[in-house]
Amino acid sequence: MTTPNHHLDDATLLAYAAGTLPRHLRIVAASHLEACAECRAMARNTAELGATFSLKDDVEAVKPDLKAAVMAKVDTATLHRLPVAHPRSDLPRALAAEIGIENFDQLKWRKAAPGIEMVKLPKEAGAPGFFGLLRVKPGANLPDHGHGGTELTLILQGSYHDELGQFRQGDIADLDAAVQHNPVADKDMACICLVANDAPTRFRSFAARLMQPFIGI
Amino acid sequence: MQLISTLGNLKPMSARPPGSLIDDLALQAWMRAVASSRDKQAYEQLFDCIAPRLKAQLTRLGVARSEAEDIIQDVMVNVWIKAGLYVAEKGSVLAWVFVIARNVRIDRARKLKPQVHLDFSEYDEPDSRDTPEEETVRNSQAAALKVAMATLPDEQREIYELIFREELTQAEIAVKLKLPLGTVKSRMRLAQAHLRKALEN
Repeated sequence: MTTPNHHLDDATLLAYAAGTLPRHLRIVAASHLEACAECRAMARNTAELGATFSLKDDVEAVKPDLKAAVMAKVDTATLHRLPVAHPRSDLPRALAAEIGIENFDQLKWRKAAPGIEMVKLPKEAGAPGFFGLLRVKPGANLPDHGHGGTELTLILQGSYHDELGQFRQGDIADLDAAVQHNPVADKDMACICLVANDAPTRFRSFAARLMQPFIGI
Repeated sequence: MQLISTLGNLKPMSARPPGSLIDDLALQAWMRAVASSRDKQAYEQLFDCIAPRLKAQLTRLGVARSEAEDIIQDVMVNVWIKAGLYVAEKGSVLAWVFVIARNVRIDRARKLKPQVHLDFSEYDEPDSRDTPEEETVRNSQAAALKVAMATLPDEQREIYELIFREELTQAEIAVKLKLPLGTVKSRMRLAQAHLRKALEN
């Protein structure tokens, strides 16, 4: 895979490092990190700051029996084994582990709009927004839309282009309320994206807004 | 000073009682001893350094005592079983522990199967000893991080404090500082840009 050209926003990366992203956004961010050495390095450096701010200064004594309990546990603990090579999977590990599915064909795609199929994925109870996969036919376009909150779109297969440029496998579009865009799948193959947002998408066209309750994005 | 009043219950760095100083090279040596020969004495040293720091952070966040003890136990057992996966050139021991603790807490909060956490995925690869060149890179990174910390503007330091010490979300920070969400996000970006710049130099 080529090195990604589009990365996580620094504000998102910081929330990821701190562990405060909602779970469905976290899975998409983790999936990009799998493909992106640059963002992994930045996540590690951010963790250094996290450790500095949260662990470096203050100490509080722990009870001796807590230490005794840990020492007893490590006596019988099995060591972490180095993972064997992972079987080839269409999906990022962070997502495959979550939903127990490895290949695009195992997913239950359903028609969402002309040229667009969709799979909704489970979110945390009560979490607002959308989490799912979109499969867009070659050359088809997503309705021109803006965002209510943060939206992460990771390309898993194929590519699309919009006002921001071309997005290929491994690239992530990390967009907030300020961005309005009109993505079109490139013509060579269907484009499959993993999408998570934390507030409803705002479609610009009246027809798309009428469709929205049925699409559910 | 404006900063101190908005920080509320946070004390500025200089006014905090200093924890025992961390010598990451000592921590790394103990990690190696645990990884290579299951050295219990070295592991006890790690426990004595790490557990009280986790405890202080969990107390600060108001985590109930029994839950805090369960978390510390989970984290420390993870340190034992994963010691062989720690790679010094990827970061400090304390940062590695920070990530383990974060992931333990995310998984406990879910009470479901653990998620796959990948930002430290290189730790899942076999260890390789530092080449002199990697060691130089690693040392200069540690120095750059120190510079980044020392030169961090107050406004951005406050953001890191709220994110990592208080573990607030962007929206919670916006409420606390009475700022629009967009302003909080741009401060986060400025803070991270400051870090990037320090690492590039």
